[in-house]
Amino acid sequence: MRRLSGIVRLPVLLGSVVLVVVCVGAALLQAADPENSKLLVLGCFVVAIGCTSLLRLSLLGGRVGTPVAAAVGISLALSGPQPFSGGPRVPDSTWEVLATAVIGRALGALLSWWILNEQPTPLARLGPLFAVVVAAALYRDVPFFSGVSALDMYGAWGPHRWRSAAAMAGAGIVAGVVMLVVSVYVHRGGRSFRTEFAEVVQIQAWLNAAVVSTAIAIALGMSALGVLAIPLMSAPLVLLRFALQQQASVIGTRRQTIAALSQLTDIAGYTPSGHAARVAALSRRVGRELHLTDRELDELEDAARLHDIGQVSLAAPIPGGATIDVAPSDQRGIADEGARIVRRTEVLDGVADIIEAQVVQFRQVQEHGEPVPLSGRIIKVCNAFEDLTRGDPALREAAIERLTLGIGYEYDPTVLDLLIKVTAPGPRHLR
Amino acid sequence: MSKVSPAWRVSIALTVAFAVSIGLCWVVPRAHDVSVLILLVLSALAVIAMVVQFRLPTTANAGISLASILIGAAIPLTGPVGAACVGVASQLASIPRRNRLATVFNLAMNGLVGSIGGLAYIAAQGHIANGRSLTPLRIVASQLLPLALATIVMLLVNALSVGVMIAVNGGGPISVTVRRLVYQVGRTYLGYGVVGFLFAVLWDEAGLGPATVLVMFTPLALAQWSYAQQYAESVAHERTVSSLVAAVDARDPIMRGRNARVARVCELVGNQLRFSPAQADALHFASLLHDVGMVAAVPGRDAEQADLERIRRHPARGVEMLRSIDFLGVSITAIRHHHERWDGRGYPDGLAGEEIPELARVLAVADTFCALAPRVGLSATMEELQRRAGAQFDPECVAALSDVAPTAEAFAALDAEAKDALITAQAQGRWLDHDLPEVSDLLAAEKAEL
Repeated sequence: MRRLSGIVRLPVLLGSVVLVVVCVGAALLQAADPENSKLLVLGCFVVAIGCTSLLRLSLLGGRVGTPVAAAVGISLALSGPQPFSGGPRVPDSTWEVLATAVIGRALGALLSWWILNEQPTPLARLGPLFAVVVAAALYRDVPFFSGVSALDMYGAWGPHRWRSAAAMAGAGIVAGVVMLVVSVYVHRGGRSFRTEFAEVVQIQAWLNAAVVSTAIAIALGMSALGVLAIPLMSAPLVLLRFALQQQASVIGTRRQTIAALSQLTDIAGYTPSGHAARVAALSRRVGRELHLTDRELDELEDAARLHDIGQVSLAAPIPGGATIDVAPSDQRGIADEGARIVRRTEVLDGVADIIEAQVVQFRQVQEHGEPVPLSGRIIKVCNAFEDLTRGDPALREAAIERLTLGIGYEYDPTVLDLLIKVTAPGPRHLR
Repeated sequence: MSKVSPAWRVSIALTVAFAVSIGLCWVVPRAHDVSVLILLVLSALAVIAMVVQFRLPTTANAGISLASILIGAAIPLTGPVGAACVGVASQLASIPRRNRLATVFNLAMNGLVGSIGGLAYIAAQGHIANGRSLTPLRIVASQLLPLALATIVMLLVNALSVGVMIAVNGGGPISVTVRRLVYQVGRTYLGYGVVGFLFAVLWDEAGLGPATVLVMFTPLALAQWSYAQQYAESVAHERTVSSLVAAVDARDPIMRGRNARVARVCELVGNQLRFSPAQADALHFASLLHDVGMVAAVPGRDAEQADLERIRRHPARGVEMLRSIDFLGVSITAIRHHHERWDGRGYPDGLAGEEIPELARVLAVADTFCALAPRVGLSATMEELQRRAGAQFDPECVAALSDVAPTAEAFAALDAEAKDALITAQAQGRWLDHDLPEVSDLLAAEKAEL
């Protein structure tokens, strides 16, 4: 099993040490002089948001977020009461909340640029800030409860603290929805808002729920622990972030393995060297033009890498390894054998379906309404193109001419059009 | 009267220790104030947490034990007696699944973990909740630090109990088990202590009460889910590797299914040599993939020479093919060196003795065992391996294998299909089995000539 130390990199470690030292120092100062601790507490929030911006989480094909920084930001909107009865409420107004969050995010952007070498992405950072403002306005400013806001009811709700928690949850949920919508909008790429939303909503909704409950824990914990609540109460979310990051890397590892093992047919001499990798790269580009989701793209790529694995059942390699010149019934046999091998893994059924479908002629889709996955049609076209060109740009024209003869009968015209588009000579040609 | 088995004796001793520790709580001041409401809520949660945990496909050390967090939270909230109750409650859900011995052992151990942890907390001047408000630094000094100490004590109690139990059942010595457990779960255990503390602060000092559960629930549940997914994914990964490799192997009648058999024998020997889980994992993948380099055909006019060349090159070819897979790490070096010989006459690098990576030495012995055993039977195989211990093989690995030889033979046995393939191949005389000791000698002799 992968150990934590492999994932915790130096900047992250440094960031957490700085955060803990600053918060402990601030806690000592706050205890010494509770009356004038406003700047101290807000400063801690700035440092916390800045440092936790380094704790990035990339989910589902590289959508990057900073869940811990988002939680600290929202907790800022929900905080107020400090542990010392004489001291002021910090932060005291929505303006203070906003200013602190903006400075914290700016510090975070600066640190990410300086330490992680990351280009600032202002739009992606606006989402969490907007969520903070929404949460602050709902919790601090809107007089929902007998003419006063939930924050002003904090003292009166002493024996029923769960009411404060419920009010925070209400404001937090709205903030969480705002974050979700903005992040879907920012990351949707060429896809429609709805497709992207459907793909990420499940995991993102749970993650945002964890962010919001951590924010509530920080805000409530602050009334007992002061600024120490910031590093302590965010611990479970940090733990979660490492679990999710590790999960993403485990999935990446499996795909890496498939990529390496798919060379087996190349190296055993069944297919020309690099064939599977080139079909995979080409299929992915065509798939992206068709706005497949990231999950579909990954599956397409895996299937393309393994599309010739069925050839290992042959007694001797096909001369030249190109399936395009083989009789259709033999093509079918190879594809079925490949699907059978892949299905034996018990976890790649989607990939097996695509491999099976790669030999179906397009006419069968049209005339008999045979349900063929789009990914299967993409691989059919890309594989044929690759069999004819072997990665040599000079052969492109002839290959396209030959494929065009089979358009509508053998090949899906839409896919072929896109193939022609993505392989068009130019700076991106056959990369 | 029938003799009481050692395992029962350990369980009974634990039960007595548990009873004594509870008795102690009535002597120590402040130790037996129990808040019934808190106790009921935490115990109920512990039962629910364990029921859910049984449904998730996680291994013991790849998940989060919510029950441990609840025991940690119970200490500052209700003291040692409460923590012991939560510990016992956490095991209630598993009673129907276990035999009587395991039930008694786990009930007593988890109860003891709670009560001793609680007593350690009090000994460290830990503060037990009573609604009084403290300053932030006082909370840290009188709850977080004592709870950290209590967590360490709980970890030791847990590891020692399990270590003793494993030792009397004929497993490894106590010190090995304890060290392994502390290494594996130490960090997570400290994490449980911190989360338990947060639970207690929100419940008591922040005045949230039972609603704390809802606030703390989501991140922990999601992390638990993520660990379950990771476990499922790693199973999927293993399956992907083994079935893709098996498909390619199937072409060669001699090698059909060999990797899977070698993997099982390696696991056996690795356990015997007390490999850590990380080492065992690396060995498993190395054994599944160690011969992938064999698929590469080497052109040559003389078929026999070409075949020998292919054999000579396959470790390096395998490494070349697998280098892009990050996680393989140690496995890669094992694959490269699995045909090295203890006397330094192996290939590809001619390493000798301890220079050869340990996993590669295990792999070499298991490989030859799986090639020989189905052909010449167990006793002849072991004789051959013993004879070659210190020459071709690491004597320690051979000794470890001979301790488990009968089981290993069962693992190395061919199924009907593979047996037919082997007989046909031998009749044709066309296929050379590169894992046979003769082949190793042949290549070593050739090398000496050069």
